[in-house]
Amino acid sequence: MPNTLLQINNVSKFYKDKVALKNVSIAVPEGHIYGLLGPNGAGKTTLIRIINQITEADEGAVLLNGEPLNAAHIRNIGYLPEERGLYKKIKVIRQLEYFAQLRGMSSKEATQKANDWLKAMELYEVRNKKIEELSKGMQQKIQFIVSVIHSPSLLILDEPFSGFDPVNAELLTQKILDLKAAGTTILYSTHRMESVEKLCDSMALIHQSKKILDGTVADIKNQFKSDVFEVVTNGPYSPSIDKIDVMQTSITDAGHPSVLLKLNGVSNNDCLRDVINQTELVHFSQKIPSINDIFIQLVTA
Amino acid sequence: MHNILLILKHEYITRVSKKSFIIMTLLGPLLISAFYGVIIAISISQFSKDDVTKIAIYDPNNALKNENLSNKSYEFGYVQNAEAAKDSIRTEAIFGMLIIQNSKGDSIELVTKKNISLNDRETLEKLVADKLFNLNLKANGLSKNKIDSLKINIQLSDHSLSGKSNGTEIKSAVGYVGAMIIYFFIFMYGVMIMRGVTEEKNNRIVEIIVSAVKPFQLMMGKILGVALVGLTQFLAWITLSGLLLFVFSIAIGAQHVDAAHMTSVSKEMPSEMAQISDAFFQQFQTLNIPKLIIGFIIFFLGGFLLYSALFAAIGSSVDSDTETQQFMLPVSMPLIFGLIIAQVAVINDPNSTLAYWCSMVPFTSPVVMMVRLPFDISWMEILISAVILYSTFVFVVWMAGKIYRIGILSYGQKASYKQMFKWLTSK
Repeated sequence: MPNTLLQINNVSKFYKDKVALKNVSIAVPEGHIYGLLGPNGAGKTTLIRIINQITEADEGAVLLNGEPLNAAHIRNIGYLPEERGLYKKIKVIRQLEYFAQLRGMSSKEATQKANDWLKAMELYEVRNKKIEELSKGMQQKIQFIVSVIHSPSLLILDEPFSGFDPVNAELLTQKILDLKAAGTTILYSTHRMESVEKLCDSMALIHQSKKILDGTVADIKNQFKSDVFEVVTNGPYSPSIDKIDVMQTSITDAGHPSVLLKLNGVSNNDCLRDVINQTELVHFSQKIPSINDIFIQLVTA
Repeated sequence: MHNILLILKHEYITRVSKKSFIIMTLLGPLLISAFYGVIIAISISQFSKDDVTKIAIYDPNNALKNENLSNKSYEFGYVQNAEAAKDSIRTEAIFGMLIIQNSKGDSIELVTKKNISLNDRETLEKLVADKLFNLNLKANGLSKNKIDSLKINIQLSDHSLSGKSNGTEIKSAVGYVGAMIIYFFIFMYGVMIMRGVTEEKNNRIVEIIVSAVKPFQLMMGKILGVALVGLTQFLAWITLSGLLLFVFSIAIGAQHVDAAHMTSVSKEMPSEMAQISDAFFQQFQTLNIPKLIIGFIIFFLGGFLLYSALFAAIGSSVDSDTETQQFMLPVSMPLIFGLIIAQVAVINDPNSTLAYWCSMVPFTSPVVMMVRLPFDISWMEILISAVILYSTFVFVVWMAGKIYRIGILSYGQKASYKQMFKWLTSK
């Protein structure tokens, strides 16, 4: 198990008339892409603002690399807010230099890094244009550069894919994976579940100001796997064991009969034998729930 | 500190390199001189208007004894028939008619088609009154020359104990001009800061910035940066105006040399003119220039910083420019009040109690102290007022910072005083 880079201990945040976060604890392992999931208004943005030191937690502690969060950590954190914003009338390169310097880089370093990133994101030709002259997609890419230009050890991405077309989304995914390979820890806040399965190593689910689930993606899926199996056969099959329920029958694209079975404690092998006794087996697999299924199941429960 | 400097630099460079700033800086002195030129031209043309106003006099009681009242701008004629004269007024053959209603002449009616200007009215009153006075003198056997010779004209020239002229006029003028400059720059650039803050808030840039710097640093950097922009523009205007004046006076000087040689011009210079310019230089010498400049910079910057902090706080608590109106008034009230005090009380008596206290209260002191400054205010007084002003500034920045900190991240809430107070008291 890698070190814990970001440790959030029992953090609560109250506003005058509502609770934004209640006793949330999260441990983000170093080098992981960590999914922060939750429906709108769950408290994700508040948590992110606390990590960014924009607001303070009312209770609890936030540790980065084992130290309580302080002003020196600003240069170790990169932040892509959900609400995007850039200076419309300022040239791309000047804008990047400014934000890089605010994160503690020297002017020379900032220019160097800005040019490197502009090349990497296929934006070098527009470096002397004003933001308002660029397309929405280009602006989004520049916003991304702003969050990573100072090589942070912790990168916080709040809905990074919103506003990207598929081609640029692929480019962004690649850059995120590159950063991970280079050792950056990424906190990825979203409600796009399919991207969580593709990108995240571990995750936490926040709902109604509380953390209701966390762990590695694999563990969580295991935890939620049910004893539902899909059986595809050559001929018709109906279980002869009483405990097994048939949930659904259908025909696959290849024309094979397919049934969803709930085993209710019957072992896989007993079930398989029952199938083989009746007909020829084509496919036998356990239905693993998607993160999306788990999310909906927990949030609507 | 490093962050404040970064933001200051960013604000300064961004604003100074804007096209509108460059254009305003270059055109400002030209526009201002053009503005004054037009005003002067209009007032000159007013004085030298050559069309004569024709006015009939209906004087049934012969109060004016058929005396001729006409001069360069008015032509008077006596009429016997008031109704016929009214017809002439209707057709605009004549401007109006004076009806002298009694033999004493103190009740006069003026009939016109168009409205008469205040200025014309006073002139007419004076013309008739003077004529009646002369007639009365004559009737009582007194000569006008005799009366005039009995009048004594006094020229009061005030001097301080050191025997020099006090230069009251020039001091009032210098103080008032300085105060006006401070007043305008506070408004112009204060609103600029307010807009800047609202814009950053609306663009949502602020979330990225405040994750990197403290809101206090952002606000400080912004205010100081814009203050420098204002100072730059001010100095550029002074330099440009000076240059313009220099070029202008050379051009005029050259003309004089062309028309008649310089020597003959100065010889022909009327002694009255020489006296006036002499008096001006005497007055000018009474000004303590270094003290004025130091004082101006102290109160220009202090007032600017104090009000900028207030404007920034407003900008951070609203979502759009239109919402700023309700907060603008209470913030600008003390400043406007200060200017009125400067006009009324300080010019009358720069050392009155009201003037003194208004030059100590930080919200009026930048304007009021500037007006008092030329009148030998002690350094101690200036220092006390400056200390109050700058410590209020720090306090207001701290307060505005709290409003700013929460305001910039609150969207969609209708800003109100109650809300702002809540933000002030929240952690």
